[in-house]
Amino acid sequence: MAKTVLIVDDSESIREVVNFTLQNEGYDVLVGVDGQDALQYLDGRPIDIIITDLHMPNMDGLELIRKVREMDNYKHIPILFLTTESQAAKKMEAKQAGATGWIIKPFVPAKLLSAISRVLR
Amino acid sequence: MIDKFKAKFVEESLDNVNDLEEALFALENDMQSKELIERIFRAMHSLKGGGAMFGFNHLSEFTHHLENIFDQIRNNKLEVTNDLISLTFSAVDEIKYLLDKGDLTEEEDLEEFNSLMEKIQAFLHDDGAPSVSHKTSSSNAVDDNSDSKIYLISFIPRENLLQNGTNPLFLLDDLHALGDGHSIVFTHKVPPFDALVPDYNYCFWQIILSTSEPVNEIKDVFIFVEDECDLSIEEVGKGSFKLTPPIEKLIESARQANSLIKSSELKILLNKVDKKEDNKSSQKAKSGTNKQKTQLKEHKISSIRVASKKIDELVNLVSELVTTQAQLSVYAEKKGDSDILTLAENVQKLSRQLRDNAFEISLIPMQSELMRFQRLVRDLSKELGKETEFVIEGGDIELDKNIIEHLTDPLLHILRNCVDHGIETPEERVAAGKSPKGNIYFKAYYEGANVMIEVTDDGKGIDVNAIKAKAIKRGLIHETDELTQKEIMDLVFTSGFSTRDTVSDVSGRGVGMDVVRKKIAEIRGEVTIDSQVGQGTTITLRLPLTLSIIDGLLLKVGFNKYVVPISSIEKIYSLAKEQLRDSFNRVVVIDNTQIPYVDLRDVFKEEKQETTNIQMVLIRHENKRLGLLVDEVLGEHQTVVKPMGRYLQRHEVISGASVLGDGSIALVVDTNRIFQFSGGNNSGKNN
Repeated sequence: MAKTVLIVDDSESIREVVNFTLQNEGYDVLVGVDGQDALQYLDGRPIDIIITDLHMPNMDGLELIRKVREMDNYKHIPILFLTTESQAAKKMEAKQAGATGWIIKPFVPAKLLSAISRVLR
Repeated sequence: MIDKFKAKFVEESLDNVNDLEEALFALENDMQSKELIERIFRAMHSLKGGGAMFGFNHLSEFTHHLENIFDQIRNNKLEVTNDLISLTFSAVDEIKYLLDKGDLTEEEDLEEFNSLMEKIQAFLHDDGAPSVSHKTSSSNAVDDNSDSKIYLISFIPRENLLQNGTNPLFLLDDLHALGDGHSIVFTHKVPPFDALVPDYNYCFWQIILSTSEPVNEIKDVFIFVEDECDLSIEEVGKGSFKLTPPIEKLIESARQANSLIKSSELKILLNKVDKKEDNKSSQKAKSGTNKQKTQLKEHKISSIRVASKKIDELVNLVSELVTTQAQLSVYAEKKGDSDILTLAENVQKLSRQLRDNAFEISLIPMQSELMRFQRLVRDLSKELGKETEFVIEGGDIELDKNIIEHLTDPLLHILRNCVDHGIETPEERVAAGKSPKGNIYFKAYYEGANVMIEVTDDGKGIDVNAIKAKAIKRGLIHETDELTQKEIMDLVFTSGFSTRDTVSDVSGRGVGMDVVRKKIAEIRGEVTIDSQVGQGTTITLRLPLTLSIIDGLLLKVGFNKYVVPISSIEKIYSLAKEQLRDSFNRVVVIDNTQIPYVDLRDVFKEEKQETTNIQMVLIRHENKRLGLLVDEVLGEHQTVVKPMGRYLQRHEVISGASVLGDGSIALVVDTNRIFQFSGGNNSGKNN
């Protein structure tokens, strides 16, 4: 069965690139425009991985990660975050919130896929 | 493929820039507003991230520094000043310029760019603009000499490893993908069952790995978990790793003692082995690891990206093949040789499958665009203080990517018009006796050899008289001109026409309905508009399915042959002459249902032959049905639709022509338009 990816980003173009890349790769893709929006998908349906931006309106990526880690259904799924900051501080913060790994923007599709394959197969 | 999204990025970025500008204006009046600063920061962040992704490197660099300034403001390290705001305003202008131009090449531009950059950098307290720092390559980077080395990797994760969604087994897999290895798991820390916390990790691992990859590749495997484990990677030998009895013994004793293998001990054992091994076997091992690597790569490719030109070529070749196959079938039938007939049938079957396959490859679903449309309607409604529900039907329809590309802008414009001009404000709607919430229906469906896209709103509709008055004012028509309702509606598509007196912000993007029509015409599509005052407007796009090959039914009408797309055929009847003679209004009663019909011999002015039996092909279009009278149904035909020449393009009911196996030509009937042709005297409604 195709794996389901939830992508969360407030930038439409990023969402589409990610969406396009993943769908091409045969993933089922759910799309949230921010943390708040993403929560609606976390209703018990199977989701195999979440890829989220950190800076978003309404609910940012860190809070989303924390929320997901509190949910019984999803607390163990891999969560990758997108970041332009390759500074350690931001990464640490996200990792402490419970993120599994990260993808540094800008990325090419191959990089995105390889990051996913690190944590989901 | 990034290019495909570039235009979208620019559009989105312009929205971001607008938002940025707006927030800046507000910030000028309220310099302490956290919310505004956050908004500005976010806009810049998006510009920076996206800019780098879509190849706007200057933009990305530029906004990176701006972002830093606002990051510091956010963290109370910098103050908002009037100077800063003015500078940011000029930066916004530069951003717009960069979005328009892409990366700068002109000397002059670069100068300005750099001077502005300097001004911005001067604002930053320290020069610590931590530009996207690339990880400095590790000091013990291995020389590029690809000789295989043996490493002892000790991986001791913390207990909470699993809670972050990490699967340590994947890491082991990744290591084994780098080369030959042996992993040893230590499980002595696993507590008794009743004390076991299921999502704790109690295991740790040692891996002996021989690989020709640099050590950084090994480190890379652990990149996500390096803070959650103790990791050591030690080089313990050269060549390929072989599990020899002494090493086995070492592993066994380590396991029994529950203590890690010491690299020094392993080193000694390996060196002994090494001496025995001659060069030949290490050579062999090297090719072995390489092979494994390529295997892994092959395994990973589950889809490939192909230049669309190649696909076009494939489709062309398939078209040719189908025509040739038709010739073969004709030949086989003429010969009557059963062997050849079987072969011809097989070829036909295969070429059909090949055809379907080739077309499937070239199609992409509309879905991705729909997301944009939905967003547009939502945002625009909010902006204009309207309530709008956007209903999508048929989003899974697939279209040729070229068509989709050409379709987006016109559709965006149409939707903008719907929200801006069509849907009324809630108050107006209630006053008109409608529900306060307006509806926009987006419907896509296949129809024969076409894809139809209908955008319908239940707004105020278009007032024919208003159009006429405006057109006269604009000098598009003369006051005394007599125009049908349809002709008046059509004026909307004339260039330089706008039904609103004041050009609003929304539709003031320089695109009018005339451009919509032009763009749709470029992909050989049509736009029609239909509107009822007070009830709403429907804009219908009729697009060619690029399927230049269709499944058709070959018909004989008079002395000529015609093709009707099978997709629009519902049933075929054989009628007795009497059934038609008794009917009037060109309606025939079959199974207690009245079915209107047209005689194709009349439509195409073919000679009528006297036959006792006549066949009727029942076609369906939306919920309408129509019978087509023909002399004979000849059979299925894979139809390669060739466009008609320039002079025949406007023909009402013919959409193309196809070469048959015997070299003769069949005309392809446009089933949608034949309804219009027959319309008027009959509603043609089912039931």
